Amino acid sequence: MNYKIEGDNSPILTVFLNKNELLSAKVGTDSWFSQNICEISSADNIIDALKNGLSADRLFSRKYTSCADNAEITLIPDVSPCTIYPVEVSDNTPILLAPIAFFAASGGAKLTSYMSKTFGEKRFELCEASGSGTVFVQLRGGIIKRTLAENEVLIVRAEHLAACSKGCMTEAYQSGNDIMLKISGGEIILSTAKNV
Amino acid sequence: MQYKIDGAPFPYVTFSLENGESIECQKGAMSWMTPTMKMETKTGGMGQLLSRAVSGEALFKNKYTAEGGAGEISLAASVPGNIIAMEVQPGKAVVAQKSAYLASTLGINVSVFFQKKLGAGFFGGEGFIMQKYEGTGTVFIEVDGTAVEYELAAGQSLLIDTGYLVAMDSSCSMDIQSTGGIGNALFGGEGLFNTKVTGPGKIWLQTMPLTSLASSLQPLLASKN
Repeated sequence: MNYKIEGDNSPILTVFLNKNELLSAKVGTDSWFSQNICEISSADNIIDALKNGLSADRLFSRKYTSCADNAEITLIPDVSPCTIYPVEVSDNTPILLAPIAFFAASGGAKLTSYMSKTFGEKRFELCEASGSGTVFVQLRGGIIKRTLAENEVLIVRAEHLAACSKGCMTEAYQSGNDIMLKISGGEIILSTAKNV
Repeated sequence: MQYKIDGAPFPYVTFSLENGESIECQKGAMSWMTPTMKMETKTGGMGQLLSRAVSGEALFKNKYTAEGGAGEISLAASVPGNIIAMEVQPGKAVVAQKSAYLASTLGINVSVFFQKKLGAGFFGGEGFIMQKYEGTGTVFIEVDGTAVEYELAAGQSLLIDTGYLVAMDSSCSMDIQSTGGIGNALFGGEGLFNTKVTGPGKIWLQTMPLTSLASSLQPLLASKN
């Protein structure tokens, strides 16, 4: 699988698939694709995630496969202005992802529910992306990438978190009407606008 | 204190504070911060509370202070656009549109500014209530779209369509001017009046007022009915 991300504040993602390669993408984001994209269905791994408690409206995706080499599909985020950012995941380097930030994933990436917590009327959810592949996140606005040292802590308003290394999200708590996250020791990806 | 504004068109401002230094900001503006930043909610007394209520701001401001070491705090804008920093000094106050305030250094007093000219209040696009920033320090305001600055000489005027004026030095005056004739008003698409701002002083304009953006999007949104 190869891909290219083009555009500035309203970017598009074009993914090139070889025969039998898979791609999962958020529903409604497929904008045009070649005729050798031969199978489109609900993505099993996403269904698993939904069964594990994540909100259906947050993480409903479709699966695309290619019946020949050089198939091509272009995805456009359902928010604008925004940023598309690719993250490589493996079983040794899983990430935690805000479901609303999920955009697409290569077939080897596996998504499962990691956390679903309610604070008053608000709900905070995270899923875990592992396996082996690329996960594409979509962020409202721009992207901030930070690497936190082991004992370095950052307090983040929940709506700004797109993704982080597994293990660095240490606490989610309520502060007034807001949900705050305590993050330490790892890579984090923040959105400059609230992902709601 | 140092600051950095970055990320347009979804901008954020990051403050780096030494131990004991503080900033004030609009309620709910904090996006991420180091744990050394301590929050305190301020009303500023009944006068300022009422002032903020009528000027369209949240009733409470938050004060963040670096305690136990240096700290960092980032505030993100609420709509696509820009954040601009403006210096305020004694005798050089700034008047801004409602809801422009994002943050300020200590020493800035945010109060209500009443537009006394009836015509400008009714037809100027900013209403009768605006905000006034006085004191000594830096104010950070939100701008819808791109910010454009003009320095007007004494007596020099600029005609501005409704909603495009973000802020002006308090030395500037604001009035309205007819777009000229019923035909222009009905068919020119510019409304009945323009806002006329006259120097001396600096003015800040915005290229995409939220109200204009909302009007453009409204026909595309499905009606609830």
